[in-house]
Amino acid sequence: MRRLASPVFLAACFAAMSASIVLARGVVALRDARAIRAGVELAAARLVAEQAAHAYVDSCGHRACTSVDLGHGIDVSTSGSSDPGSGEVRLSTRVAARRLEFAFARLPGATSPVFDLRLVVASDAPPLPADWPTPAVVARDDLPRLATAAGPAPGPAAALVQRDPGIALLRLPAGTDRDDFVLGAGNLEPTADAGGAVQFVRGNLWVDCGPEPLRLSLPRDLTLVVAGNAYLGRSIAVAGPGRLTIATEVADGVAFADVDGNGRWSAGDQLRSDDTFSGPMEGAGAVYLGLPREGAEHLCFDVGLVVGGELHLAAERALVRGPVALSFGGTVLPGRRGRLVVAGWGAPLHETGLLPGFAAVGSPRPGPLRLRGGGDQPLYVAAPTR
Amino acid sequence: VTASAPRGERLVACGLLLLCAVCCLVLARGATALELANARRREQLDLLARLSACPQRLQPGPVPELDGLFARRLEVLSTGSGPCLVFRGPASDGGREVARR
Repeated sequence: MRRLASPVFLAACFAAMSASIVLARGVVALRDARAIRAGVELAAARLVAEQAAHAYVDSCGHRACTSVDLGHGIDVSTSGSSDPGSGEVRLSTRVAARRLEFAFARLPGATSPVFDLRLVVASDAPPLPADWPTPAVVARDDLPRLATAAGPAPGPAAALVQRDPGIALLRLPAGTDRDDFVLGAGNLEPTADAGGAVQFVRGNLWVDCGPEPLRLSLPRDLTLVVAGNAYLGRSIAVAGPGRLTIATEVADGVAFADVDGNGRWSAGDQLRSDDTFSGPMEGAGAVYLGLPREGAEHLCFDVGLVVGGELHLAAERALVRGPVALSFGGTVLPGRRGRLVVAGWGAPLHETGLLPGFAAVGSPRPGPLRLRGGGDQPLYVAAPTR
Repeated sequence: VTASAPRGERLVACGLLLLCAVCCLVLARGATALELANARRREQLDLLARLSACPQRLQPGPVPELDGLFARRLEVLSTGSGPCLVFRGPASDGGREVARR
């Protein structure tokens, strides 16, 4: 008992306690510093790999090896090689004692900057309806162009697009002249390289009307190239990192504004070319938001639209969560308020690789850098909780 | 320190406490400096991650906010294939950059 009351013993206990607290703080800070150092090394490796990727593409593959001394004991060296199997370029990176492997695709250019805008219209198109947002005006040549002709059937998203001979007669008084296909709910199969998919639709594309949105799960980008009209009768909800783009092209017909909303060329409609009307009676390249005879109150589309013909709005209000590019303009069908809201995709597209199916613009560039093997590691290890 | 303790014992206790206080002060200052440096580096890494996520939006030129994260300065350079973050200048401890074919 007497020993416990000794001042030396009490002072030693107090000193030990204080020192423990301070030492614990120091140890936590040192552990944080070590984790941050690992993060700095990884960030350095990624930066040097990015630099090496640009050098590799700019030099057409001649400048394949780089070594950068970043000081503080961080030395990063990269070695690039083309992978004939995947067509990607692999960058082996050594930083400190770690060995990392990155891969990137050599892109022929960037996605058209038009996709970073919301509503875009060709400079020679007629004025848009008053209740629509003010568009960005670009030269017709600057509108997104499709890169490829129709690919081999059935295509990567064939399971989502089924031929339906009856849908047009069900929804339009005179039907259509082309084959009709219905887009159904479902998933797009993922691929190892996470590359986008293009599905060609040789006819009209329909999303039938209904109270519930059409739900699609897209692990990668999907572009539907429609050689006809697209009739989007109800909302489309997309889940997953992939984006859905619907592009219509004026392939075998003439674009016109369906002023009377009967779904076919008739007196009073406005031709959007200098030719006389010919081809399928439903015209070509048109997109209908809401079906002409059914209409809708509020529709919401998780899609980007590249409209080769006329955009028709047959709803009180339509929200498009992707960009909308118009070649000829837009028309609100009779009896609808026809308010259009375009949100656009938030992140700039040209930073996330090429949008499938569209021609690249600009000079060749490296695609997004992927860390191979270890997967996508965080840039730095999170600090331990105290 | 109890008043009933011998004088020598009290002196030893006081000396021990003083020594402990000095050591703790030194250690605490070091830990604080390390914590501040960690916080700054963490912020810089966050900033670097944000900048790396959208290089197309970067303005060409040095990025002074990232000074000190590496021993070399980071700069946004316009290349033929788009803007890119690159290391500029020699490392503060004599680093070098070598590019070879």
